[in-house]
Amino acid sequence: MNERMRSRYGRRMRHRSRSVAVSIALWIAALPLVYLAIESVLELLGAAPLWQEPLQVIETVTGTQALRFGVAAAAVVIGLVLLVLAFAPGRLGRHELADERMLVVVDDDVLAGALSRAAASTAGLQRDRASTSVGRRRADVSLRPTSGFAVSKDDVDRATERELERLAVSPSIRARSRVESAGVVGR
Amino acid sequence: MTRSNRILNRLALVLLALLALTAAAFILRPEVERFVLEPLGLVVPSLGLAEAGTVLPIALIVLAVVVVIVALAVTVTRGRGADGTALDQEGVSVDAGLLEGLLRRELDGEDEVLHLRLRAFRARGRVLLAEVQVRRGADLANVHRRVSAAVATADEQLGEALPLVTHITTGLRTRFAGSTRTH
Repeated sequence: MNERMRSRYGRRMRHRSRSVAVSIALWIAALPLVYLAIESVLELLGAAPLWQEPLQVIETVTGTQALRFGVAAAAVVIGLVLLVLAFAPGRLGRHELADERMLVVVDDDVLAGALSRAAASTAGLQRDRASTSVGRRRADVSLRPTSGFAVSKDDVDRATERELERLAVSPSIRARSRVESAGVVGR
Repeated sequence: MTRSNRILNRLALVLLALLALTAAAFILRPEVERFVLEPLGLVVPSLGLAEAGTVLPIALIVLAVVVVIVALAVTVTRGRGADGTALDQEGVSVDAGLLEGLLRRELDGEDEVLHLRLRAFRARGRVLLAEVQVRRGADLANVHRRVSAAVATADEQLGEALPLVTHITTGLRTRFAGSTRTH
């Protein structure tokens, strides 16, 4: 896989596609138009309208104060949501791992599990006593130690950093650990 | 991995957003004229919908037909590009399922890998997507190493290194499988 393909597929894998949003938005736009088109066909054929003739529908919507503001507010909200969807980066919680042969993309929850595992192992704790949240550039590891047994935060930091170096995660992440003051008894 | 054009998706969203905002401005025309257009010295002539005769219904029908056709086209063509063929050259065709079986066999016995699914796509060239579901708290470096080894074996047997994207993920199987233990 050449660098161009790697970069292209990497970007596609780490960013959300907007095709579902586009389909939904198009159908939302189509529904009132289809209704108005049906009324228009009935008007051109001289048949009775389903509700009102197209011009009357427009006049009703723009004439009634409450309806007017309600419909306009809905249109503004839809417009703003679509603008946010169009311009927001749409990043997915994924990172790439260094690999010469192929592009490797890993979900952040898998990465978090691996860091929790490294942290718990270093601290001598069971796996469920370490939890990690992974952001784009940062990972926060939280440990709940057994009461009466000290956990070295520096050792845990070194272990998680070593794990991240081993994986060569991209975009790079800095791990930060926190040892909770309230420990757990008996486990 | 699909052939969806993501720039076009964004453009479509911007266009639809502008349509929605224009519709809102049309509905609130008296307020827009009073608070926005008049202070700017702009005068927008009346659309004259009441005098439009048959133009309005015909315009509405045309607009609806266009929007429905575009909506159908976008919905139907969405996510296209999946293809069951991993390799197709010089009269030789290799099914993605065959390659999937090969990779699964190589990963057989790897406790942390729960499932592997391989799909082939044709999007500006052929590319394979291997989705690897792992256990909670899996040793990621080990999984990566094992998958790389399995891919190397597949490359050797195929005689070619096909463009491959490996996605290490979790899924329903992960939820029910339980985690790996650290001790």
